[in-house]
Amino acid sequence: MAGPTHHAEPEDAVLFAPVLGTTRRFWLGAAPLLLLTLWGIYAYTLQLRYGLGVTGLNRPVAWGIYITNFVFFIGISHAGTLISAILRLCKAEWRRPITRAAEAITVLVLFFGLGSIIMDLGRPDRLFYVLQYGRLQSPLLWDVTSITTYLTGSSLYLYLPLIPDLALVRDRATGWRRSLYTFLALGWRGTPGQHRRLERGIAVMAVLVIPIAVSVHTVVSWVFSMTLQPLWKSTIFGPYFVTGAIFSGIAALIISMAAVRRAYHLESYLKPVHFNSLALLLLVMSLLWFYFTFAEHLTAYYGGELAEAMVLFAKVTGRYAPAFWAMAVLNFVIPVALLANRRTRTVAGAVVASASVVVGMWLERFLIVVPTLANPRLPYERGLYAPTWVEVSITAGAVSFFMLLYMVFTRLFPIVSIWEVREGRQGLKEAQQRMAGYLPGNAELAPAVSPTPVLR
Amino acid sequence: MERLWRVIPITVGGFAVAFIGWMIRMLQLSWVRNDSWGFTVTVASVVIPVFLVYLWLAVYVLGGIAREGRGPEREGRP
Amino acid sequence: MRWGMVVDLDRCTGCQACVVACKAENNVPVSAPKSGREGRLMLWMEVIPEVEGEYPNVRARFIPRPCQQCDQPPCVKVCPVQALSKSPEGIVSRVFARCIGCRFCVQACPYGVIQFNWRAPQWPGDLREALDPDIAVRPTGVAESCDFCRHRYQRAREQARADGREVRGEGDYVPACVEICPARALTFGDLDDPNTEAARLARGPRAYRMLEDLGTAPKVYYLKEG
Repeated sequence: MAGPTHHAEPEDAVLFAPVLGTTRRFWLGAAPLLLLTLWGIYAYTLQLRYGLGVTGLNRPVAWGIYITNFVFFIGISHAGTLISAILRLCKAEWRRPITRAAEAITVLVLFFGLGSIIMDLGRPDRLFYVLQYGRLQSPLLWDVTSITTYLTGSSLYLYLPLIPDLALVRDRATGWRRSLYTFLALGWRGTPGQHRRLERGIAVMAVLVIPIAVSVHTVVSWVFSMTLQPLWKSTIFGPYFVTGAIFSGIAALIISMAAVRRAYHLESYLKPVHFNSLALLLLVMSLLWFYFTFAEHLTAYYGGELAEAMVLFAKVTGRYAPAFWAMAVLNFVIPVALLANRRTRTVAGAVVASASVVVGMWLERFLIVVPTLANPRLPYERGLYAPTWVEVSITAGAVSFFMLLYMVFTRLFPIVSIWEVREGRQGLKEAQQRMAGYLPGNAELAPAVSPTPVLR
Repeated sequence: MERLWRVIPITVGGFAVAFIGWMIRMLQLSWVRNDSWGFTVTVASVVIPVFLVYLWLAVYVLGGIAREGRGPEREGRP
Repeated sequence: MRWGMVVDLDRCTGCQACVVACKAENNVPVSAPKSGREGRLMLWMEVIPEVEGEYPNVRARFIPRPCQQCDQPPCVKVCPVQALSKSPEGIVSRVFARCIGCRFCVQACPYGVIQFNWRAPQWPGDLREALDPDIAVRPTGVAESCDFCRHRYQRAREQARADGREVRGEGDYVPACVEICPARALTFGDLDDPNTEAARLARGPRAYRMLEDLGTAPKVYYLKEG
């Protein structure tokens, strides 16, 4: 770990430390991730050379774990922007140290969502035909549009609150870092005009990104539910996918927070109370996920339409039963057992529950994509699908590359928003006043903007 | 450096304009092909306003901050 | 004009002549045994054996399955780059040079008739010499499916134009599978013209279409075994 910085300001020094230089421990952590990434790239070059034949895909299972990864990664991306925007709008004070970590996940993981689609293309060389000849009747183009909108929006939403921090770091950094931060900070000096513009920008974006984020995963679900395939053609797929996305997103956020907390000694910023709040949110989402899953499967079971029943029983009692019940345990039993109990709702408990949810949600996406394809409506084909080492390597490479990028991000940008934490400290009085404003009667600290002279 | 950081608002704004341009191209393509006109209009009417907001963000917020950053030294935050 | 096919299941003997004719006509790659094991057979026309009952009381039937040529094709709808289209005569066909290989059409098709080039196409030995130079050979990574031998329709149209007449609803144009069928199980013609044999059979009491209730309106009719 970087030693104490010799800069004058001791305040928040621990937040500045990671971005002012790298340590050996960082490179030791990055090396295996880099190796796995390179391995994934190697596997992809094989696929480029020999075509999708190197995968386990076939007829009728023509989509496999690349599409699973696509849905999964886009889901993880809902961690950030959505949670941070909602908390900002609600003026939830506990958001201050966690928004940056969340927004960074969103932006970085989105690239892997897009990347998974490209991995899945038979002709990636013709990717730009989508822009050149696109037709918006295809749900795939809805994806292209909404993900581009989301990626742009969430990048801006990450960047805007970063500007004051970049200026703070700029004033402390040296060498190439100083040039980088000077460039990125746009000459931020904290003038009232700059503040006004920034705050307006953040406020507008916080409202705008919420519908965009919801639309993105809805549109992802529509890729499936616009078809006629059994158990895909479902009206609740939109909200079901959004729920799952927020669910896995919060889990990823908790894990990443625990990781940076430990790596950069941020115990005094990311406190058990933050984990507790997020863990409660995760618990709620777990229950909501269970509700949707139950409704989705019960209707298929009760209706008993032959094609749907084939898929349903393949999932529940057939070939995919181990994955299905593992998903139920990982997404529902473990998180609820751990998080509903105050004694286990600790930082460690939240991390264990989150890890379980991340794996469980990947399985959930897999179980949406594959069993339906393996059991098509006509009874003539029954598919078998097992990913090959190429697919597994590319997936592992993508996950490692994401983790690597996240590590690099924490080394380039303060992972806890410094100015927002400081604003929170200075704004204690204002927050107290706001809380007093919620209460009945004329509290001592009623907001100055609306004095209550009635009782005076 | 002060000139250089103008790149950021210009890039963001340029991207927003390019995307709106692409959307208009899609409308044109759909009209010419007489194919999926309703879908294209619906998507365009939702997406273009969003990118106009991004454009506003690039010009007013990012551009404004950058402009003030280059200006004469003023009072810092009170 | 709406070209359609009628398959008489009573007549089909399962000889697979249509499958072979289709492969030869359309430059469909010859699948190695390995492709079969991997579930990657390339067949635009496929004869599916359906076995009912248990030994010794078995009853086998054969269902030839080309592209169903839907009037409301779900595959055309979802293609992101318009590589798929339905012609004015109702034939669903592809521009292979446009296909990006997303396989959305494969997912959208409820009949499972869309093929994908998982690997580079192969023709063992002299078979490569027999390729038809008029038909595009599909590269790795694009989807393909039966198009009712649309090139034959184009030839018939040119011929008719040269003769100064319209393409006849019957006789001028038949796909390779229909032409070769030794049991005359396949009939082809204009469904809009009530006088063609195909239209007459399609109206008959034995006629049904696969997964008719999905609303895809296929133009391949099957005649139930009587």
